[in-house]
Amino acid sequence: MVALYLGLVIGTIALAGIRETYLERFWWLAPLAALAYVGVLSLTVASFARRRKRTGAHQDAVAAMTQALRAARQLPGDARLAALRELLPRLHDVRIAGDSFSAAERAELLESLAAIDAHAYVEAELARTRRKGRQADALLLLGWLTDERSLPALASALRDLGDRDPDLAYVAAQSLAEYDSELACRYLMEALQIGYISRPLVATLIETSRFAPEVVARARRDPDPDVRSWVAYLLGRSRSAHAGTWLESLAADPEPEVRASAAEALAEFPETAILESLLSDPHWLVRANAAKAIGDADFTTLAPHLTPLLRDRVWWVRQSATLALKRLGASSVPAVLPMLEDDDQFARNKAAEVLIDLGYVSQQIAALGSNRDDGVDASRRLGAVARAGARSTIAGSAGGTGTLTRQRLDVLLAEWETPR
Amino acid sequence: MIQVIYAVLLTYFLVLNLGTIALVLSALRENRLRQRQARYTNLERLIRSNATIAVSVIVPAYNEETVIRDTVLSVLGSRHLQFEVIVVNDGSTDRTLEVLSESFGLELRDAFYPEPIATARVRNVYRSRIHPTLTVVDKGNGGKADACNAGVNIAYYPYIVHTDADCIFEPETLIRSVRAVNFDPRRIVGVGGQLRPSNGLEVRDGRILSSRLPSSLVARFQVVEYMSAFTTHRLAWSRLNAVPVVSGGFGLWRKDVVVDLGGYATDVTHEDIELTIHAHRQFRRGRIPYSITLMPDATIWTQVPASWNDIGTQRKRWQRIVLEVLWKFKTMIFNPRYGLVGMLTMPYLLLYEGLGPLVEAFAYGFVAVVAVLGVLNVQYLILFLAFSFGLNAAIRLAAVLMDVLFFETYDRRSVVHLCLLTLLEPVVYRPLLLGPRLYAFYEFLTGHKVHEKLTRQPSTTAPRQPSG
Repeated sequence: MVALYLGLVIGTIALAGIRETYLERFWWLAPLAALAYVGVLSLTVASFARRRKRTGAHQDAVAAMTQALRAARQLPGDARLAALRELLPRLHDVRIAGDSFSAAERAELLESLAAIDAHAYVEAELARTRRKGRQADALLLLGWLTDERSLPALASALRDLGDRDPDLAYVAAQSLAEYDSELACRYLMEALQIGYISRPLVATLIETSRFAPEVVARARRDPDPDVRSWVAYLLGRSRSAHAGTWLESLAADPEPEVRASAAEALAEFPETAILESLLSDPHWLVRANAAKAIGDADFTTLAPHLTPLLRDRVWWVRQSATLALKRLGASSVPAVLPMLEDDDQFARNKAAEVLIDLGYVSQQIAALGSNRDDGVDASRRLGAVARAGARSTIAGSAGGTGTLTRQRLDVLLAEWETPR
Repeated sequence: MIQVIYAVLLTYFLVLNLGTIALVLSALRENRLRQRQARYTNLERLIRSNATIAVSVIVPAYNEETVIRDTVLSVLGSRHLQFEVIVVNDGSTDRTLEVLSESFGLELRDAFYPEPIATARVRNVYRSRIHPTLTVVDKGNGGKADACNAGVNIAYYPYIVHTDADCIFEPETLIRSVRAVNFDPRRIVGVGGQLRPSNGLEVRDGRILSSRLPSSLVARFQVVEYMSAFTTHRLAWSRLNAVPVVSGGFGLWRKDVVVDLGGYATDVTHEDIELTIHAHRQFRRGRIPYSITLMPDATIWTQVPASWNDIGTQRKRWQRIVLEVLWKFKTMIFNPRYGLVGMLTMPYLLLYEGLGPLVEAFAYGFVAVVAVLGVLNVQYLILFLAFSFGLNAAIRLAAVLMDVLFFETYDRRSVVHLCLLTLLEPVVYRPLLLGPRLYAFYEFLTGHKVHEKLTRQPSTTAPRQPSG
């Protein structure tokens, strides 16, 4: 860097020293700039023309390929395979054309391609080429062919490329995810454990595999807590019958990030006792995720255990508990009502927020117009919500109510405004 | 003496243009890499997965009644599993809040949340009946940065996206930017997108129906300018992890980073460049591994000034913010402690963006003086102008080339038009912006910090097809 700056200073001095010979020396700069412009312009025109040509040619090629494949289908066994063998150098077009086939036709096509060892052709291309685009295309083709004989090649691509080119490794991982195979799932899990590529990316690939629960569970004692927390996530996504038991052990993990992940994953299982215990975990993220899981799973019986979290010292936990109580619906109202009188102002605020979202305030406003005791009760209940900080919402909710209700509400609003 | 000035000017010019050429070449490589990443990523898996990060999109709005509906609809139409939209009405004096209320069925809600960043008073919070993920915060006017901070305070998710109220998202804009974080969640703290002028877009209910070049010449010049800024300059800087600015039009940030930095700065005219440089400083000072990157395929369409008057106002403001940031972070300039940001980005900002108008004005004045003195070397002048304009045009054209190669945004006619504009840009567009940029120095010295509002055009809406 210093050399660069030094060069600039020396360059300036040198240019200043050139004097009379200045123009003679630098006359070529102007034509050079013009040449540069013309060069870039030619490239632009050529690129545009190539783009149009390529788009047109590609469409033609795919149309021709579709025709060729359909024609090949009509041929008897060996002749069909021979025709397909001819098409191997254009396997990309075969793939695109094949994607427009029905599921049965596509399965038949893939079977025929397996019979002529199309995977070996692609693997040879993958080994031969050094161009990344071609390597990626070959990897994608292996994912499309889903010939189990290609699994070792994909796994080694994932391992070998992980350090050098994570993008290509990710293509290999995506292709592995196309296989309905336990071995493919194991390779992906290995990638997650070793960290060849970003773990969230691998997780998106593993979570759709039907072999995930068993394969993932084997890694639940991995020494890396980050891996264990991804294991918990994946077990949750798998919704497997055994996963609940495995998650139970992860919920007792010494690392809070693992427990937090397990808590969130438990939303998929009826393990209410574990979730209940996680609500009092010393780490805030675990408490927040446990609350979230209770809301997601609609465990209405746990609503009374959620309300104390409205006064949690961490906002994130309070917010997660608030959202969870809202998701539990009307059944959480009885548990929330006592919180309106809580000593903690934030807890009162959050309780009011939950009740507003659950329609409690609207119900009380509607009852306000009643001449019976209901009206008196409603005004008392609304008062509690208003004192909990929701006066504006009550005022804003009065639109569309009857005259009597409106009048009574106005009186109450004025009363609530007066400091006690 | 004249020879020395000639030499200084030529050196300045050569250094900056050689630097820019290096950026263009680097961007070419980076564009190829990003295109390959995009081509081979199965977005559908990311869209459907809970492992994909959740984001809160913050839309600050001040007097945006003409555009806000389409903007919010476009963000709500994002293909992403977990996200919320927070519109912050920054004390608008027009019908912005009413438009939002009518379009999205807003209901008043008392909301209780911590305010780690101080902002102007929040008057009300509304939730949408129609879109449960939409929240509208109504607050007193405090400027865009203050509105963004109010959005950060109420945001629930660990990543935030800030955008402008006139920006139209494509359905995949969010997921494409989020993809960067999923690729490297431990290091990525900020992600920018690619802004393109939306003037001329056909939009209906937040959906883009077609993209054409804007009708106004000023806006068309900006199409080339934005291409150059995003597909070449910033992408190349991103390769060096030394991006000078994650644009205010679209920026994805880790929420805790924004909060730790004290939020968006309200003491400068524009908050985006300040936040970016501030983040660089924080992480490099602490020697914490981080990355601020740009995802060129995360496209956001934004309204650009369509009149000379508006663009003058905008550029005056942009120039002012560069000067403000250079002044605020002056200790970073040529400071090796900040790595490439201190030794390249900041000097580049100083020499190219900061002092550029002064040098340009000096060059014009110098030519006039030597002409009056009768010692003007006409040959030198012609040589210099030809070289300068030719190289500038070639650099701009390279941006058009990259758009053709990697993004295929415009049709043949539009590309021809853009090529012609690259020739006109150095002789028509740039000299005309010199005046406002020079005036910015006066405003900077007098402490002027007003964020002048530009004229907004309603999003072009295609006529509905007659039914039956």
